[in-house]
Amino acid sequence: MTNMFESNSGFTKNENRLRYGGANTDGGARPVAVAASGMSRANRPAKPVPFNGLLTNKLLTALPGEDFARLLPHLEPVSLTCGEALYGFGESMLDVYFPESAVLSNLHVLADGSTTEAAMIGKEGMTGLSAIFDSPAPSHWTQVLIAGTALRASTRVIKEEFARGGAMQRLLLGYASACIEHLAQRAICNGRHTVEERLCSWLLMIHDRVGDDQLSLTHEQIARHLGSRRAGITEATITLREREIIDSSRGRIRIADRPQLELAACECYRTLSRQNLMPAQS
Amino acid sequence: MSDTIQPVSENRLLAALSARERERLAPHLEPVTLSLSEVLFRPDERLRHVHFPISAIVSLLTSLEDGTGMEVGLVGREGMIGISAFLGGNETKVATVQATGECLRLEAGKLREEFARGGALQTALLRYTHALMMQVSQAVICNARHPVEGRMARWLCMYHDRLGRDEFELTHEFMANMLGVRRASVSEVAEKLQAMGFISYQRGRITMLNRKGLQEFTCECYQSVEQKYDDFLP
Repeated sequence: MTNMFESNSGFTKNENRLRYGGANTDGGARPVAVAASGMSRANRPAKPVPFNGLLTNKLLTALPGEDFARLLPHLEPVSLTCGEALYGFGESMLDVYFPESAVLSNLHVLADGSTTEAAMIGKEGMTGLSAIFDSPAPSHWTQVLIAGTALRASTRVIKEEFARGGAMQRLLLGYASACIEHLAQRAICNGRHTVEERLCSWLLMIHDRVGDDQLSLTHEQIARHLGSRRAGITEATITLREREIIDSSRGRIRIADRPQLELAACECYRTLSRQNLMPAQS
Repeated sequence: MSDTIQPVSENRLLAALSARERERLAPHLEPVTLSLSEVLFRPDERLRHVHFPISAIVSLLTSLEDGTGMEVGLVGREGMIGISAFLGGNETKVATVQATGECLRLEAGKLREEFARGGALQTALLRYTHALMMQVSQAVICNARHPVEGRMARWLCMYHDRLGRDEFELTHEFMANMLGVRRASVSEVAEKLQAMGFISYQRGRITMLNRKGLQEFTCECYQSVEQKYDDFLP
């Protein structure tokens, strides 16, 4: 089985980051990776992905060279679209995803059909821990919040790596611990902080993961993730806009003043960035 | 009457051990009695022991910078306290005993050693870690969405499940943390549940009068986590 990484052995490890060596990126031409057809699983054919050649997922970049080399042939770049659900509800997870530029959400659906986000997953993490840990499928949806790229691997391969008891096991156990911390902080945050504070923390978390000031988010989407009424989100957005912390127009939010956004956020953002191995940008 | 001794069943994680693992660990499992409000660990303390409750119940609290805490998990004989022993890193929560009872204690290093062997204990601990993740997830949702009375009903049902008796004491502080409200509001919420005839509440002493009614009154989070919790556990 081959994929783009194998066919272009132009990756070099550079300052703990993998760089795509063979690409011609000037003039906006980006290498397009098309996963080999043999790699596609189940009913989800791989999509062609414009790949910028940087490997930024923190779990993957933390793997020692030898472990990473073993995994490389099994990593398949995919592009994820906003709103896409990565797994059927309650279905076993045949693949796991290591987000690169994509940001994912674990969304719980309540009895009345409304949703609330329990956790956010970006380039600091991965999906599918429950499958690696041999647990039943979780009771939430994993949905794409911000469209982007991810690396996909079969759960079986990651489980085999985990069972070796080496670096992958240490990393995933550490990640599980970070996930529990993330959840615990979000639990107390939801219990104690105002919608506006929570919105600020949430935007900062996305900003760190995406690295772009322009975020495509509707008020509706924000309300669905924060579990608040849309009117409350609109109100909070207006306040932040008046203070020139963000700009917002139809379906878009631009982070205009990141330091002020940090000041307006609750302490949970700082705590979460410490815990999630995801350093704050400023 | 509240002190009727329940048949002490085993800790569920230890029950999943293979005969061989049991043989290896048995000499190192030390029975201890945990007393009410005892703190098993605080954030950033080096974890010396892990605890497998039998009849004790321990709550996991997360705190804000001002020191106020909130309950994010409840651990009884279905689980263990001190997952950082095998996950790595430090504990960041406070683990406080909420119901006096028996517990088996094991040196953290011993647990790590046994975990590294990759046997039934590892499998059980990984599944438990995920189950705990689901419990904390539900607290995220519940805190964002549900009124305080429904939340109190949920925690009381969870507590009752683990305790297995109808009469128990809960400190004001515990209940305030459980709900993330000021201590003064605790009585108010408890009195509402009392007025509905689900519990009787007198100075921290709770008697379960109508468990079925209380359970129906819980927010849906009780159903979605606790009734499925069993499937998640090893």
